Amino acid sequence: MKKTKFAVFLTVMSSCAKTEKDQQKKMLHVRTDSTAQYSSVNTHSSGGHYSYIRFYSWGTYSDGVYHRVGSHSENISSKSNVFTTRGGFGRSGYSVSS
Amino acid sequence: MKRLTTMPRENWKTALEENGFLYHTLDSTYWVEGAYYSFTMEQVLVLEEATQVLYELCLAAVEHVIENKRYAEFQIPEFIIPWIEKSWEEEWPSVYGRFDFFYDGSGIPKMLEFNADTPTSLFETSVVQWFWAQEFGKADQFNSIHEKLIEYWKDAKNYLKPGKLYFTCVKDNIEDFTTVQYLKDTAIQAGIDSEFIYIDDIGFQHQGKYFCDEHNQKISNIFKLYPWEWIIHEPFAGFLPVSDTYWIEPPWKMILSNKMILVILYELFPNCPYLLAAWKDQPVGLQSYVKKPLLSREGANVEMVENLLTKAKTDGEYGEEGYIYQALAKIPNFKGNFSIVGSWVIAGESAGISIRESDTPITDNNSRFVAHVIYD
Repeated sequence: MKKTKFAVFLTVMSSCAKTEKDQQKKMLHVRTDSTAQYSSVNTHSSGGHYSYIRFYSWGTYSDGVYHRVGSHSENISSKSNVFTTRGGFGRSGYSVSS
Repeated sequence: MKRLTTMPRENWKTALEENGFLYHTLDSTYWVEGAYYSFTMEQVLVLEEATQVLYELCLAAVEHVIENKRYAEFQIPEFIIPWIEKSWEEEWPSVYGRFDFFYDGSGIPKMLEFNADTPTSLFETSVVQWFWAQEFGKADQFNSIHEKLIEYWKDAKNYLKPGKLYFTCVKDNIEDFTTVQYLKDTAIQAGIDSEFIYIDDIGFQHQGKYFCDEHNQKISNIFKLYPWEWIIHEPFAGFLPVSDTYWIEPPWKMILSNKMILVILYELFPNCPYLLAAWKDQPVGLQSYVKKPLLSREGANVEMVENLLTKAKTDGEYGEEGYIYQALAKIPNFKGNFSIVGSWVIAGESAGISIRESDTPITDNNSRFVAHVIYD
């Protein structure tokens, strides 16, 4: 929402604020335009394939289909050393989608 | 609340990808480009109030469970209970959650469940549908998630422990990875020194009794997109209470993310108009109900019964821990699209909505995301 419109909205809401319930309605959580701060995507074209480094992603996209490339940090050992053990989390599933 | 159709943008896939939304199309359509939902401001106010009220009731329900030691009904193991209670007593805060509502635009929204621990679709709700609306250009949207996340992290700086804030999820899952990186992005915008680590790269330093990153640096604060019900059954679970890492979402979310909370809520607030009757182990007096495992995900192992006849059922690997039975609220059908409203809570405040559609009354992992506008 543009800020000018947001100001109009607030004015309208303010004029209705006569009861406690209406006071609560002033809390309406519509967005201002601060997504201007949201950083843009960096793309690199290579032979018709586009790799996206936004969020440091590790996949590629071609012909509208996403292809996994692999995962990072494969050099991390899951075995114990003298003081540190790894791999004790992450064994229960491959996606948490909910 | 109306489902309307529109011409898909010519470059819609490119436009989505430029926002960092790479999973608009996976095995099947996820982002629905040629349709959207339109809400009136009055409907938005109804959803907002329901969300705010229900979140307060949920906190009261957690308090009740802790005070009355009802953990066994949630199948929560005993070793982790003192740590849950510690996190509650110390008021470890929550970042987010998503209620799933039955709502068709008329009447009162009904709470189907609360995804309190690891809700996904955050990024497409907060950013992607917002940019879609900007391009659509006709109307407003119920969506202040982005701003509220940044404000949350600014406030979080006051209670986080010294050191970086880590963000973690599983490997090789673009949806989870994007969700976590988006949250990390908002934390960075709030000025928090943030780092990413895959969950299976987390180490435990036995001498110092702390969790550590790949470089053996102590992890003092961590946001995890990984369910508590998985974590507490994994090899490192026993180290959780002895380390002093600050976990987000907090351990007390183990109570809220369990379907048993639906039973507790109905027991405590039977006259609340937003709640459906819910019982544990058997459908007391219900002829039409939905049977749900305490801990299922993506609509798995759910059975929908209408007038004592099974109308829909999904497979899965959940249910060992028991079931709850919730009175049936028939999901609205918009021309073959069964829709539920996801209502987001950020830092305890109602912050916006997302719509997911399915071909069946049970919303599963093949559900589709549809944007919305407020259009009086």
